[in-house]
Amino acid sequence: MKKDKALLEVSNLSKEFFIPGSLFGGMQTISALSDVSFNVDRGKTLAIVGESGSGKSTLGRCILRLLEPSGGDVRLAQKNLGALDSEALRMQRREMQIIFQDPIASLDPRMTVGQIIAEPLTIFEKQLSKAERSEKVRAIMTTVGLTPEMFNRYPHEFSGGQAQRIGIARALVSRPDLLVCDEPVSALDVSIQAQIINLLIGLKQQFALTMLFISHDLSVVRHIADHVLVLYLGRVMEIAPKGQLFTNPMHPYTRALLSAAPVPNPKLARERERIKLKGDVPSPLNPPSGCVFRTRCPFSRHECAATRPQLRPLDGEHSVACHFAESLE
Amino acid sequence: MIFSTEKRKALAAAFEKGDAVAGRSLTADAWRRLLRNRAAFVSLWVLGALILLALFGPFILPYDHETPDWAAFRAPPSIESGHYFGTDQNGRDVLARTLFGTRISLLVAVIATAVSVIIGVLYGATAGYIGGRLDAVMMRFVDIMYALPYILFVILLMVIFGRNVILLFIGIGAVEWLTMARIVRGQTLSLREREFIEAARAAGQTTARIITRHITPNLIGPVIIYATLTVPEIIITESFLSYLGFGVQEPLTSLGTLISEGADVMEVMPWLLFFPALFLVLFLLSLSFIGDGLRDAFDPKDR
Repeated sequence: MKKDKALLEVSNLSKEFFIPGSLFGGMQTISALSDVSFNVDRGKTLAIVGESGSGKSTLGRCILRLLEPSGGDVRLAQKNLGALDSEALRMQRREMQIIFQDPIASLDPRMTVGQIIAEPLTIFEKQLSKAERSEKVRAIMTTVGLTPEMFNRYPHEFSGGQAQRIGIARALVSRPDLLVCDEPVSALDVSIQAQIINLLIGLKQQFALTMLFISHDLSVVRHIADHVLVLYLGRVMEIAPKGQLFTNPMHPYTRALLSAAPVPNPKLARERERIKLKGDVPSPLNPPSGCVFRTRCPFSRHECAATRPQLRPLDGEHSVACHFAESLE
Repeated sequence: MIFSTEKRKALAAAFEKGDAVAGRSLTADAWRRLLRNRAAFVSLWVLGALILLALFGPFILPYDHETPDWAAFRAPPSIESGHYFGTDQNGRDVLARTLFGTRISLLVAVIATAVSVIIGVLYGATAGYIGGRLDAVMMRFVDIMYALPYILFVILLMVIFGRNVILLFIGIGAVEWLTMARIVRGQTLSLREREFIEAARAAGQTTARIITRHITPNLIGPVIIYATLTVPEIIITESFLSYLGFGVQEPLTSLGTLISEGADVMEVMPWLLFFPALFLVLFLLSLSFIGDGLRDAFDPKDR
């Protein structure tokens, strides 16, 4: 494989859900994702941030084809995932794994930890003997910071942080290239969050992982991401290298998000300027015309309602979907 | 707190042994809770005693269930004659017949319940997990089967395959699975949305193995409970069919048959009704207590 090629290429991905409308009204369409495109280079971490309902998790699931996308392409190492039949897709899952938001709910309550972590091995490495499999499972348990004595225990005996380590072990035991982390720490205590984040950073090095890190917590994102993608109502607002996004946000929505993130220093917190957004996220059943953010944007003008801003490159890897990104202050 | 160094050392040694720490499975937990439930605990013993009696009692008794005792027709229960439960109009020992009837009723319960559980769980889990059009078609089929009177169904089976006790049991099970399938489908619909099922899909597990390895084990609670509640229903169905002449035939007998025969003569020979009825009541009561106990034991909110 050529080194300059991106591992994960997503182009024009969209996902629509259909829900029954009124009794005689037929179906209503919810556009959960619309025209999402980005690349992730091998070994890099892309964070996807946005409010609840912005389509973050849907995006992660569409990339893994746990949900069928309605349109667009996903390529992993130049292989078009959308073109795979179900059996080929199943085998492809070896290369792409996911860890979940609720660590305990993502573990089968009737299986032991050993069985849970071994499951991918029973699928992808059938040739392994029972002893070899157990050997591999114990090795990965040590890697993620679990003691092998836990092999025969059941998920309900574990705390959230330990359960998340089990989830990580299961995701990594088949040695995937791509790891999608769907809010992996938002259900955990803050002290445990740091442990899990540091574990993920270490594992990323050790296993040469490419990560898609879905989160609404900017302080976590700042710690782990290389690039950040901001999603609002299923549309990409801004995508940039982490440093640029945090120091020089161009989209009004990104600025509002950053200004809403808590700052540990109370003195700084009092002094800084907060951008308060008006109203709620509009219903995705009936998104605003033009720019989807215009109903809450402090800078919105006539053009915003008339034409939808396209994602356009500003400089280098920094792209933004706003007509007036350069002229705002 | 661990005060003494010896204790701490012992603990450390135990940890080093590794697998010494065995996990407590949900099933083991449920079992423990079941045994703590007094009614269920007693019922387990009663049921066990009934099963042992039915299996081995007939070998110990001096009389069998079909040979008349020419010296004792219509004899009331007595210790001296050895007919502890008395004899019927044909001089057959009622204790032997009751034990034999219990045996048949147990067999009905086991076979028909097994059939209904196997068909119901696989059918319901498949419909619920795959969903969509397949689900709709499969569940409409269940609705249609519900609408057909099951007597008609059993009579049809009898006509096609002839009179056969085992077939009758299977026939009853094949009718009882409908409710099981509905319950299992409902449970599966909620299980399907759980994250660990999505995790299994993400791990590349096949649909068939997700159903057998992840869905089915997690259905154990409701399935066991419903199965124990199905058993009485099946026994009653069997006695009804026997009463109509479709069930087990002389000289074989079942509790249901014995009771229906005993009911005809209860004014002159009450023991013909009393003893089989006592056995049936004990059997059904202990099953429902066990069913109740299981329901509580498997209830996750009670944990």
